[in-house]
Amino acid sequence: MRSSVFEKLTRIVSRALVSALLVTFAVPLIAQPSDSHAYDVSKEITLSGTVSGVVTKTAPGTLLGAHLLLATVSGQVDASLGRWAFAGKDPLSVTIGQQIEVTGVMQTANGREVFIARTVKFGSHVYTLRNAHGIDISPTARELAAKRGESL
Amino acid sequence: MSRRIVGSALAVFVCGVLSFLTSCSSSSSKTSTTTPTPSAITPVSGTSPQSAQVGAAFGTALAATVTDSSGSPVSGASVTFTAPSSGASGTFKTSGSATETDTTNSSGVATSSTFTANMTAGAYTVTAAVSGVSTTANFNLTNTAAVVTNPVYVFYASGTEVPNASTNGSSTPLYYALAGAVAINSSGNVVSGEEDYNDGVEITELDVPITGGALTVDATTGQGTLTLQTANTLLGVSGTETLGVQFANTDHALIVQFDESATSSGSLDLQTSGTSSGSNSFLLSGVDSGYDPVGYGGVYSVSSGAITGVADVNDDGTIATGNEFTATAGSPDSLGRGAINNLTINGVTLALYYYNVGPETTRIIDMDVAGTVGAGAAAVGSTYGQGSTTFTNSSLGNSVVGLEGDPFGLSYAVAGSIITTPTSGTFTGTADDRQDSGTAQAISGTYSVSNSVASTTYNGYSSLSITNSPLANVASLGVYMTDPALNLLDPNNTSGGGGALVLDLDSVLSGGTGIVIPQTDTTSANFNGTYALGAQEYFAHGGVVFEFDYLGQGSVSSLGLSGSGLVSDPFAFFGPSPALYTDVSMTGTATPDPAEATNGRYTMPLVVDAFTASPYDNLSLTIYQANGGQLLFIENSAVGFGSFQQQGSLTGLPANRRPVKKVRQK
Repeated sequence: MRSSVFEKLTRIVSRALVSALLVTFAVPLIAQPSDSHAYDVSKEITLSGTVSGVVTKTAPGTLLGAHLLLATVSGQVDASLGRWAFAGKDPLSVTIGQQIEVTGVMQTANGREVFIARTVKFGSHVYTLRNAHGIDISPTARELAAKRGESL
Repeated sequence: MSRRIVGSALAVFVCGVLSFLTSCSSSSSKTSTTTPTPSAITPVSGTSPQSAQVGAAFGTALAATVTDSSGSPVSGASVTFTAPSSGASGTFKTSGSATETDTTNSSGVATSSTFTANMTAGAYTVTAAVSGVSTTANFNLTNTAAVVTNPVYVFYASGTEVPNASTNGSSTPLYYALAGAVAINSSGNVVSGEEDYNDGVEITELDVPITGGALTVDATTGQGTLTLQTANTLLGVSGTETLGVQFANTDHALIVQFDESATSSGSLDLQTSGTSSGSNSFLLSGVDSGYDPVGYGGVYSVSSGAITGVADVNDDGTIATGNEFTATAGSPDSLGRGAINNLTINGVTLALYYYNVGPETTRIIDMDVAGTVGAGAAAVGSTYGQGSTTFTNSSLGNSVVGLEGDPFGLSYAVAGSIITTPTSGTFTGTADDRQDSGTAQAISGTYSVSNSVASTTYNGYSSLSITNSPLANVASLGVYMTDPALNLLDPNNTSGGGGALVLDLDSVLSGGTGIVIPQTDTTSANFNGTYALGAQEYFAHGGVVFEFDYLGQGSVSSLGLSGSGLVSDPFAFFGPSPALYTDVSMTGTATPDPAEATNGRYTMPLVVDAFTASPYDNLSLTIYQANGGQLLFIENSAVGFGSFQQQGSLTGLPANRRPVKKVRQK
C-alpha cells in the first residue's frame, strides 16, 4: 500500500528508537527475514536493440508470460515481459524489427539468464511492465492507477 | 359534415359522459391534465408484520398503497423499498440487494419482488417511500433463527474471473474470492446458505442468501457438483454458481468453480460446533486496493471477542513484518458467519468476515472494494488454532513445504522437504520450483520459531530463510505454527495433523502462500489406495497468463494412478475454446527419487485426457509425500500446485447420489 512520507518517516523513526532500545538492553531478538532476492532496482541496466522475436508460448522452465527476443550488440537477450504485457485496453505493442530500449535486471535462474524487463521504451513512449519490486502490473492495476492519477 | 368533425364531436361527448363518472381525461383535454400528487403511503394489509426463517423467503411480497390528498389511488408512482444495510435484513429477488424500486399499478399499489431473509436472526423494519410524502410505509419483519437439522458445509476458493460485459464489465480477467456456508439435507438439496463474493473492483456482494441448489455426487468416487442458487445475477451464471466437488471423505472436499463464469480452487468442509478462540495462526492473500498482489500472515489470540496479534505483510513487494494489531470479533449468525471489526494492519483497514468451520478453523474473506469500504480490496484465507502448545524450534520437525503464487502475483509453485536441526535452528532439504524443470534442488538455511516483536514473544510467530538460494526467488518465509493435532488440509480429520502456515516474504513473490506438513512417512508402499486430488494451474496464452483448475479421484497401486476428474478450463488451455470437462481420464506412474526414502519425492507424468489430440494433455508432477495420506505437488508443464489426499469413507454423504451427467466437451 502507498503511505505518506510522514508515515514512512514516523515508522522509520519508531523502528530506529525501538532498535536503539533493544541494543541498549541487549534483548535477544530474532527478526523476520529480510528479502534477499528482491528485484534490485539499483542494478537496473538499459539495453538497446532490435526486436528479433516475440514469444507468447512459454516453454517449460522459463518465466511464465510473454518474452521478447532482443538483438543487441552483445548478442541476443531473452527479456521477460511478464504476464500482462499483451492484455487489457492498453497493451504493449512491439513488432519485429522495431528499435527499442528495455530497462531491467539480468537474473540467472537454474542456469538460465533472463532479463527481467521493467520498462520498454520505443520512440518517446515508455511502457511500464513491472513496479520497482519487479512485480507485474495488471491491466486492472493500470486502469485504477490512471483513474487515481497515480504514476506506475 | 366531415368525418373528422363528427369524430371530434363524438369524442367530446363520450369523454364528457365518462368524466362525469370517473374523472376521465385524455391528451386532448385541457381541463384534467393534473397528475395526482401522492399524499400518503401505507402498507397493504397482510404484508406486515411477517416472519420467515433466516435464509428463507417471506410468504407475502411487500406491498404499499399510494394515495392522493383525496384518498384516491395514485398510479405510476415510484416506490422505493429499503431494508437495513446490515444486521438482520434481507434482499429483494429482482434487485439482488436490500433496496428495490417498484411502480404503483392502477390501484395505487406497488408490490416488491420476493423478499428473502438474510442469515441474521432478529426484528427489523423495511420502509417504502414515495417522492413527495415525508412519511414511509413500514413493514415489521422478523428473521427467525433456523432450526438447523441439516449439516452445514463451509466453502472458500480464489481464482480468476472470466471477463463478462454483463457482470464484471471487464475486458481482462479479474481476481476473485468467495466464501460461504450451505445447509444440505439428506437428499442433497441445499436448504439455506449464504456467501460473500468479491473481485475487488466490479462485484463485491456481501452476505448473499443461497436459496436453493443441489449436491450431486457419485457415491463411489465422491465426485460431482454443488449448485448454489442465488437471486444475485452477478454471481455464477444468472445467479447460479456451480462448484465441482471431489470428496476425500464425508467431511471434506476439494472444490473448483465449474460454470465458466470463473475458475478457482478451494475446499468445502463440514461445519462442527464451536467458535474460534484462544491462540491462532492465519493467512490471507489476494489483491490490494491498487489491484496488486498482497499477502498477510501472523498469529493472534482471541478472548471474549477481543483480538490481539502480530502480522507480516507482503504488499505489492513492500514487506512489513511484526505489525501488532487489535480487532474485535462479532458474533456469528446461524450459519457461522460473522464480522471482524476494527482491524487495521500496517495502516491498511480490512473488512474481514469469517465463517466458522469448527472450533479451530475459520475461513476469512476481505470484502473491501477498491478502498471504498476498507482500504484493502479482495482476499481470502484461513485461521487455524494453535492448541495449547508452546512452540519452540523443536516444534518444526522434518516437514514437507508447499507454496504457490497469488492468482494476480507472479505465477510460481514450490514444493520440498526439509530436515531440521532444532538446536542450531538450521535445516537441509530438497525442493523443486517450476523453473528447474523437474530437477531436485538441494536447499539449506535457518529458521526460528516463536519470535519477538517489541519485546513481546509471540507463540508460533516464526521465520525460515533458504540461504543457499537454489530456487528462483523463494528465500524468505514467514511461518506461523498451528496445532500439532490439526490437519490443515482437512480440519475435521483427526489424523495427519500439525504443521504451519507460510507467507512468502520475498518481494517479487508478493501474495504467495503455502503450508508446512510434518513429514512422518516417506514409505513409497504407503502412497497407495484411493485418493482425491486437485490443483490450481496457470499458463500463458498469447503471452498473457490465465488459469485452469482440476480435481479428480483415482486409485494408486504400485505407484500407478488411474482415475478420472473434472477440469475447469474457461481460458482454453486444453482445447481450442473454453470448456468444462467431465469424466476426464487421469493416469500416470510415479517414479521415486533416488533419495525418496529420505525426501519423499516422486516425479509423475500425468496424462489429463481432457481434449482429444490436445498437445497439452501431458502434465508433469513433482510430488512430495508428507505421509501416505497427504502429498503435495507442483506441476511443471504449466505452473501448478496441488495435493493428493487419501480418501476415507463416503458413507452418509448428504448428496443426491446420481452419477454426474457425463458430458465431455470435445
